Amino acid sequence: MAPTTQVPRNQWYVAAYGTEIGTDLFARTICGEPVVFYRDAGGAVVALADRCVHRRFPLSKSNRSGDTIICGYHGFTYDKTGACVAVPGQARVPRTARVKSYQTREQDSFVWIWIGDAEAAGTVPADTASIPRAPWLADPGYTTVGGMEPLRARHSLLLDNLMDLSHETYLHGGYIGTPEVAETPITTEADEDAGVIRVSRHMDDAECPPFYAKSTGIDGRITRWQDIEYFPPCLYTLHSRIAPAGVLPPADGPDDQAFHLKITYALTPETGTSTHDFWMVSRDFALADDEVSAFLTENNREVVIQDVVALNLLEQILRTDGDAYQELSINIDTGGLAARRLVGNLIRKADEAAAGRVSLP
Amino acid sequence: MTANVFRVRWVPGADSLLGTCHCGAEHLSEDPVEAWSWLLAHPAGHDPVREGAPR
Repeated sequence: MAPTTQVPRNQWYVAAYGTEIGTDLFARTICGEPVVFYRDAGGAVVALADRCVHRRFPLSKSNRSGDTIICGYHGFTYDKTGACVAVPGQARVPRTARVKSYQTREQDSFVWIWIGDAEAAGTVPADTASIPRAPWLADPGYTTVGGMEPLRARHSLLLDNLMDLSHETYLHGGYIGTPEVAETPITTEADEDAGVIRVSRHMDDAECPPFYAKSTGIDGRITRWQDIEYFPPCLYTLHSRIAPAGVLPPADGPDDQAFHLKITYALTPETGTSTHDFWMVSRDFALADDEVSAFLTENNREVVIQDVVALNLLEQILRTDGDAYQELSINIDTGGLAARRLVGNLIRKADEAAAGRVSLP
Repeated sequence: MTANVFRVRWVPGADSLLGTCHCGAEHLSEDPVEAWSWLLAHPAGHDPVREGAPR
């Protein structure tokens, strides 16, 4: 059976970096829903359905007037709650003239959006406390570089990719991959209460790949730890610890003989078969060194592109081949299987909530 | 860390996966699908491991 094209609703997703949204109208499709974003006069993010109720013209291709959007086709005018406040040529605004307004939350440099029904979160509005945190992204103790690559492949393929880093050895050789990544056993934890999957791979004596050799200046072999945390469905972090071989964290005090990087991804479905691949690299060293920032930006983007090319190819193959095959999983897939299960649980929960609503009289 | 954790450890130097349930029961497997199936079946077949018992 192929990795699913279903995406869980009734969830928070990263819609954008906060810096992407300003006074101009900004369009992005999230989980199949076209959304238009802008900041109101007070700087708050507004998110509305990107389709005029009249003839479906995209509001993102329209015009702002103060905090309202005037449809660029016939002039239907919407306030920031999505209510239509004016239509052309007549005084009466139809009662049903409203576009959907989305709940958003700015946190840790992201704009999060709730996709689904607020009632399904147990609270109206949806509970923002359930949004997973990535505080290093807005912490002056770290310098972060990042980007976003459009992926023409389903969310579940990117998840498989990120949960099994053994592919670094083969797909990213010369960048972040070395033989030890694929060779080193992993430990996987499914924390059912916290709703998180953790995968750890601790390499005690490993070759230092160029990505880390050039950014840290370490010359020689390294102790390389990879500790993944995945908060389904959207937020993934690889906590990477790099130190000269044999240098372990001290029993007491700061781990200041090591270099720490946090590789953060937000996996946001655009549709069932395409994904917004947000990536960030945060480091706790060379904070003001622009050369290191430029190097990490260029090289990590190249690594992401290598994944994008591979996953786009895989998406095409899955569509051509269909579901009629049996996957084969081995030890390296232990984390990916755990992550798939949690995402599957979220899909099932949303389906049950939807079915419950439909069955109401 | 909360108590309700399933853990699968790839045994160093071997191809085996050692599953540990939150109840303390352990299970050796050669296949991650089977490892998760056993863990998620808790409590079926999850007799707590006795100290010193052969595995």
